[in-house]
Amino acid sequence: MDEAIRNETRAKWDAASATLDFMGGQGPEKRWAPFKRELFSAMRGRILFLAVGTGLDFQFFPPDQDIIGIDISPKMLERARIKAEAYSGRLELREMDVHDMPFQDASFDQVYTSCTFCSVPDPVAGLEQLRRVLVPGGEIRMFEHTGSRWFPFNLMLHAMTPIASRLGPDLNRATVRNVERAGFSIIEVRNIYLDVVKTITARAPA
Amino acid sequence: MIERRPYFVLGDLIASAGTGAVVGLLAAMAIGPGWHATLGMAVGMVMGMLVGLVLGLTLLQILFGAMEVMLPATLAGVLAGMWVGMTAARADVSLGQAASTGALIGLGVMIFSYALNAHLTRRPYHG
Repeated sequence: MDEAIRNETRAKWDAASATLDFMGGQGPEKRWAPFKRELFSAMRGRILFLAVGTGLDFQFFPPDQDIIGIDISPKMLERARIKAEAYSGRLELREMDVHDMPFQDASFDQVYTSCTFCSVPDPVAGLEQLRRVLVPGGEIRMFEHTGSRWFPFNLMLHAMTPIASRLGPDLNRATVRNVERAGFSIIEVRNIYLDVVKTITARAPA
Repeated sequence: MIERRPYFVLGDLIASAGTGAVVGLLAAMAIGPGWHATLGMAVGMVMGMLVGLVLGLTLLQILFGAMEVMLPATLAGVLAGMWVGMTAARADVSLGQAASTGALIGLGVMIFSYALNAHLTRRPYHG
């Protein structure tokens, strides 16, 4: 990825790190808790967790897993490290850009994301990298918000994106399609709120 | 699936009906007889979008959720602003009437979004 875009992305999320726990730690996380807990309950083997942010999701991880968590923002990771200390398994955090991961091919059994591909600058390229580091037939499990097919919400999400993306995520991404374009086979898409908040489970080619 | 946790149902009600009421009040205060009805409706719509967005991305999000409150609050704001803006451009509208109209519109938005949500979350899609 272009260095300027990488720096811009890092700076945006460094800035957001100061308020993320306050803005998202109560309402959204409590609302999504049962769905995230259920999604993450399938954690098995060597796990890559993409874009850990400030670590709000750690509370939903099943105990005693082997997880590497990455994020592009060092300020996010500073906060995440404090929460990671309370986790009972192995939770290693590294500063890393999904477009440029140093992991060898087929390093992980599963990949998890949580509200990540609303903001990865080149989502298909990022997902292709995740497919590369997954073992053949490995699963990606995602909790994401996306655009909508339904009027008037589709129109609203398109209209809000130019403002929202300056401070945080895009609101109109076609993430399910991006997962397919990156070479994954969709196993299940489950809508959590309208067709906007959803879980996506997909498999890398065997 | 329909949200059944009382805290979040109350939050959804506050987000939709509350935003509708606030926008109705603001539109009635800003727009008066003598305005062209289309202009009143357009100004009310913009006010509603801004108020809904700001409330949805700040106070309502912190307390009750993200998209689940931001989208209905913004839609309630837009519709309440349009309706009250158009009505206030034609004749005097009392503040109480404007707020209650906005709240009713917000309630309608909440019912619509619950119904659509129940339909869209009914069963997962399998690839």
